[in-house]
Amino acid sequence: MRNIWTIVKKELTRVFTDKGVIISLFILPPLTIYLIYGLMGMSAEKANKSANEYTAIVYVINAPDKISSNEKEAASFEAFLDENLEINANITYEDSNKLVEIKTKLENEEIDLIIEFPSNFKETVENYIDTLPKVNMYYNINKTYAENIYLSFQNTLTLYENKIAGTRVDLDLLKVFEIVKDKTGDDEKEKGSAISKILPLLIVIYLMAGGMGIGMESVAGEKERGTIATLLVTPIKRSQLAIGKIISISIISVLSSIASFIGLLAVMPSFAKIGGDTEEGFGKISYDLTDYAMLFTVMFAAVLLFVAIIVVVSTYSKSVKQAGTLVMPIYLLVMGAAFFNVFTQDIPQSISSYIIPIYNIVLALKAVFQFELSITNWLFTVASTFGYTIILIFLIQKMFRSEKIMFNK
Amino acid sequence: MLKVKNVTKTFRLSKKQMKLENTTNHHKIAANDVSFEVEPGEIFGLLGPNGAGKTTILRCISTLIKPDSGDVLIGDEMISAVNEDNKARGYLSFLTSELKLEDHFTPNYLFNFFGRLYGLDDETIEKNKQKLFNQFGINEFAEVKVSQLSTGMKQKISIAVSLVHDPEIIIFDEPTNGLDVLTAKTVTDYLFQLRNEGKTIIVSTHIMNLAAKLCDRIGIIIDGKLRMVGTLDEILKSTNTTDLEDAFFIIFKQVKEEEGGAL
Ligand SMILES: Nc1ncnc2c1ncn2[C@@H]1O[C@H](COP(=O)(O)OP(=O)(O)OP(=O)(O)O)[C@@H](O)[C@H]1O
Ligand SMILES: [Mg+2]
Repeated sequence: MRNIWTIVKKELTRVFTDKGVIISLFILPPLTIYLIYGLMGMSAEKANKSANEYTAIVYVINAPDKISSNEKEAASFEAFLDENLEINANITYEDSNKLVEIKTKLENEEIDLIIEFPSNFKETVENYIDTLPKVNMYYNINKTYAENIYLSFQNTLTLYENKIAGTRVDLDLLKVFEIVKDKTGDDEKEKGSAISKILPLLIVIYLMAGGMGIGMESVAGEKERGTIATLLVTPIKRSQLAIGKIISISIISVLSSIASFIGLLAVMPSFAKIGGDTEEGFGKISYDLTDYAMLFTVMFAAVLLFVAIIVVVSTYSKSVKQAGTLVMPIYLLVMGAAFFNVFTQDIPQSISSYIIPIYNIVLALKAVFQFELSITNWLFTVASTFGYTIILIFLIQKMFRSEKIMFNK
Repeated sequence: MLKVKNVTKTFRLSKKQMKLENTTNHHKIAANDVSFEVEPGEIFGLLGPNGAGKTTILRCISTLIKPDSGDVLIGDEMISAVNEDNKARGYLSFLTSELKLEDHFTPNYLFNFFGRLYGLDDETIEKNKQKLFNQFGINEFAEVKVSQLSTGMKQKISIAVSLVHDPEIIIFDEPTNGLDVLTAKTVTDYLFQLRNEGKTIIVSTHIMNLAAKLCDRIGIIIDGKLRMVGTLDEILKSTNTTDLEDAFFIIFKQVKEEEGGAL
């Protein structure tokens, strides 16, 4: 125990007496996270502000008149919009025969949104016909505020539906019509706007990078410079030396991650702004204590696994350069797993996805940010990650006892 | 007391090494059935050309590598450096220019650090430090980072740190390698002093003069085999020469003739 502590103390002294290392491990990562996401949050806010000043061009086809039933009345759609719409919009009312022409305008990005009621909407609703009438909404995702405008109108339509339902006696029939969303344009653009998906990637990159430098230095570097042999002729056990190295690299890595995490905490509020797509969503997304706890434990487990991976490679290598060459494919693999997650839409809930090494970390991070990480899946992620780490620690101890590895020329 | 008994060590060569050594053999017998003894108060020298196996033997003694067969026994208790390597390490010290110190630290820090790894208490560490730092003139640099010191001073610090536990047995691979005449003399003088204190000392070298001057007994090693062991006089007598270099060539020639190869 004393020997392990002696090694840990030496490694920590090594790092904390080196200004360059302190800056690159503890100051730069949180600062860059804060700056990048702070700026993104700011520009999202700005975009939102100008969205409020924008006047949407909207066409409504077959806008229904007053709807009356049981001597109660709902105002015409036009009147309803005038009263309830929360955004600026220039609204034109047309018949079905103009639809094709207007749709062309939408494709050419001249207008923002089309709402199409079926021509028999009023009759269907007034007569309680079983099949729900479909209200189609068309918008072009390539237009700057299309998504926001669509969501505002969708809200207003829902209010309108409630209003009509209010005229009815039969409360079972609260559902009056069905809103069908029909968007054209480039779908990737929408995905790209959801920055929340990129954050896991960034976190994983930082977590691994945090341990990489010192991890490679601390074993491969010592081998290369011949300083580890000096330790190997002392009575310290190989396993103690290995454990001492792992503990100290982990401590430094975890501290570096905590620094990044603080940067993340500082920027989370504005990050929520970026994540929220609608005006309603703005500022309303908030993570509670459980989310933070899950986020932190997953990050912690991830750091330890990354450290173990790096130390295995570092121990195997003859020089820092070789360690760098060997660790690169692993780093790319990790980044690949993270990238893969950026472009997958939904989050799998099966346990099997949460025991795949590294992939489960990225998945869990992504799930946390989207409020979809269940306790079970969290548990499996953290437990399996610890499991893999322990296996690697045994491997490292074995490697430290091998003269072929410690003395390869 | 140090007893090397029939130590054999074979290395598997990588493709690159095979090319470098100009051989088609996948294996290299770096130490071949090597036996010798060194008494306390004696300096024993392994003398041989490059690649003879000197470092390999010294590494086997210092527990850094394990021989394929044979044993190394250490001290009065005859501790096996092969089977009880951790215990044996407490009794010996391995010095070589290959073993470096982390130069980010000060001599003072390193001395304390290694003292603790050898299981010494603070008092003993402090006592040994005073003695060794005085001996090598390290005191005024005790708090300077090693990276800022000269090669000679680094070597002295290296020696001081390796001797932190006042070991019975001192193993020194190429003791004057890369040192200027003055530093080299400090080192050899200190080795004499240690010998007079009754330490068991073994050095390796390919420098004839150094072997002749420093060693009480010399073992000539060629191609992994110990070819002749004795005092300088004994070696000169049995080869009928007056100079160690001539003696070495005669032995070398004999070996090559026995093996049927040309020089
Ligand atoms: N780890 C190793 N793997 C493979 N071959 C090795 C290894 N260590 C030593 N050798 C080989 O064993 C032989 C003896 O090497 P050794 O270093 O013991 O020689 P030496 O007498 O110390 O030579 P030098 O004077 O050059 O230091 C050499 O041919 C060397 O290439
Ligand atoms: Mg050598």
